[in-house]
Amino acid sequence: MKDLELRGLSKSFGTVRALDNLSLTVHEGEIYGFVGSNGAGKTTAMRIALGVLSSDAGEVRYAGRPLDLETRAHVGYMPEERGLYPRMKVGPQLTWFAQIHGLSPADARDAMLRWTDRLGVGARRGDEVMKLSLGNQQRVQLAAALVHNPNILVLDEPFSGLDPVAVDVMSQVLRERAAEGVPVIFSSHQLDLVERLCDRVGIIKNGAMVAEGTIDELRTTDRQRLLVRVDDGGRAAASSDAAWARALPGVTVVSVVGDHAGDTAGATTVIAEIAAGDVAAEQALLRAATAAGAVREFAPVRPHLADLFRHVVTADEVAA
Amino acid sequence: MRRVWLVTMREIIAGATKKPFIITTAIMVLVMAGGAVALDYFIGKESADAQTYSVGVAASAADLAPALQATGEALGLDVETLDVADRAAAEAGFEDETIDAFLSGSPGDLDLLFPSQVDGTIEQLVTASAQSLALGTEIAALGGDPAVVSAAIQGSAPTISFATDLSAMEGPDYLVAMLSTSLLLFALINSGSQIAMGVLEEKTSRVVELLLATLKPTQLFAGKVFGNGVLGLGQVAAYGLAFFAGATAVDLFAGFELDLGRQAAWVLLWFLLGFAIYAVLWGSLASLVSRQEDIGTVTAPVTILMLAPFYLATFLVPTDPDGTATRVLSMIPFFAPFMMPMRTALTDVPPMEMAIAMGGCLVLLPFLVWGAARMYQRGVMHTGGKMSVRQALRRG
Repeated sequence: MKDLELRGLSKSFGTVRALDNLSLTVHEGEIYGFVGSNGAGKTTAMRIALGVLSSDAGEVRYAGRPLDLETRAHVGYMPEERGLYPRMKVGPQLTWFAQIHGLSPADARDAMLRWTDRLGVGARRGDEVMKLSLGNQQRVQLAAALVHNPNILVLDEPFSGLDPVAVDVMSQVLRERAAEGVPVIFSSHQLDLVERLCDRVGIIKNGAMVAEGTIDELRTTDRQRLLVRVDDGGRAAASSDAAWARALPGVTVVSVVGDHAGDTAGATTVIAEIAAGDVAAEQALLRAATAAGAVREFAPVRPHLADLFRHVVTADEVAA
Repeated sequence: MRRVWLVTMREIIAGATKKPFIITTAIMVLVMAGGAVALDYFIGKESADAQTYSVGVAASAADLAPALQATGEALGLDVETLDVADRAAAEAGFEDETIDAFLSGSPGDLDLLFPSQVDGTIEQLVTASAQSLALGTEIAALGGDPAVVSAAIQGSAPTISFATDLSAMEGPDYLVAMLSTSLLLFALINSGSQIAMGVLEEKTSRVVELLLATLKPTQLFAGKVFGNGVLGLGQVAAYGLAFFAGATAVDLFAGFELDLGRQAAWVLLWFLLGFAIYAVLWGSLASLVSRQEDIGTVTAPVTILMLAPFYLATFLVPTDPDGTATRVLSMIPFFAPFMMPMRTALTDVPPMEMAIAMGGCLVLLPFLVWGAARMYQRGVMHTGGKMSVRQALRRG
């Protein structure tokens, strides 16, 4: 299996522990979303994976072997801090980068032509990078990561600064590469994109993995949330109290919200939490709701990645 | 190696297509060629002192002509005598500037005619010649040999020498030596700062992160040094050729004893060694800072390390090219690149001393490269404030 593995990576900058025994595996053909708040250690982990930084402990492996300089030539890397030679023209620059990664001059030129066209900067090949708009520089940066037909993709914030069209192209490229068996890992703060694109997601905090799995796995928690909307004339909302729900064993009321004032229906929406798979509590809640009024809605709530992220990332602060 | 080569090529192309580089090189080529022509003009003025004295001699005074020539030779003057018929012909000669004075009459009753002003040299020349002719005649009349007497008189003149050897401070050798050393300093500072700027540009533009994902820091650094070295060497060669072309056009070096081709070879060789030493220092120090403004501060020690030997080379070596201080200092690595080309222009450097000077540089280089690579590796990924040399060299 041509997996990319980060094993037990630790790294400290002075007294700051940037990575704390971080491990993750990006499987062959998988798109892995790397998520965490600013300063969580995503960029440090990626830099270590590319050998730009050295780790204090741990190792990076590809296809079962340590990722050495030769293998790194086959990695497509997009650093968080974008960088290209500002005074070098787009075309020669990309051709040069392809050659540095081991392509022959002819292949390098072909690849440069292909990717500049694909990413919509074909008309700017003869311009110096510094003369391009930031968005176009971003596209060239992306081309630099892809131009040598890499076997591994490590992209730090590849979507930041891209317009919606470029985001679509980028997403499509990532899917294509993954379909060819390339392990793809990227970090992003655009969680909707991560949710849409990634096979698996890792959430990192203070340099350690706090949650990892497929989106579905992450959404499945040991507590299940239910939304109950009851037309009870707004009584529960008025007192912010859904007594009929609170009284039930095994049910925790998370929030009670009344409909807008002036809403003649006067419905109340209750979010309640029960233990996952506790059918008795679920049915008891439904019966109680029916007793309280006309039930308009009764459904499980699946949290979005953003909710999970907030939950995971702020867990400590809440506890503290 | 392929990657080092690719970096080298990129540096050469990027460097050679930069406008400031092209403009500087073009201007310097013109300055060097023009300088050679200008030098010839100034040297030409000085050599006017060693002019030829043309004395028109009437038939009646023709006996004096050989004596004039001989005395001129004895005094180190270039004297020529021309047969001039009479005063009218002499005045025509003054008009044409073919003669400087006209000598007529006969020995014992000579007339010396000048155009408007007395030329003291010619007056002395003629007086001395007439006296020696008269003396010779009297000696012969007394049965002596005038040739023996004149040889004895000439031999009695003292040999002149100077307590301070100033000969090295002037003349074409000194000129070439100064020019070689200045050219070296200029080229080394130029290439060194090119490398420093290049390192910083990669750092500030952050492209270095992308590069280091594929290249070893040493590969990147080596490529930079090679590329800029080739550019610098090309520049020095172009300047040297321009000067040489200008000099050849005006025949500046006519009568030079110095082997210019050999001196050029020494300058190129010492450029290579000096470049290797200074370039790695410039480059690695530049990697420690993150802003253009700080580059001067951090590379100042290297500039001093270049200027001190340069001034020593220009002041110490010409006054005392074979002195102990010169010999010892010129064998020390940082001094050698400036002092040795100065010495080779002015004196014969013993092969042993040259070998020690070069050997010293070659021995020092691996340590410099090691230190520089280490500093560069640390510094180039360091952002924010300035990193100290100690921090960069520290282990771990």
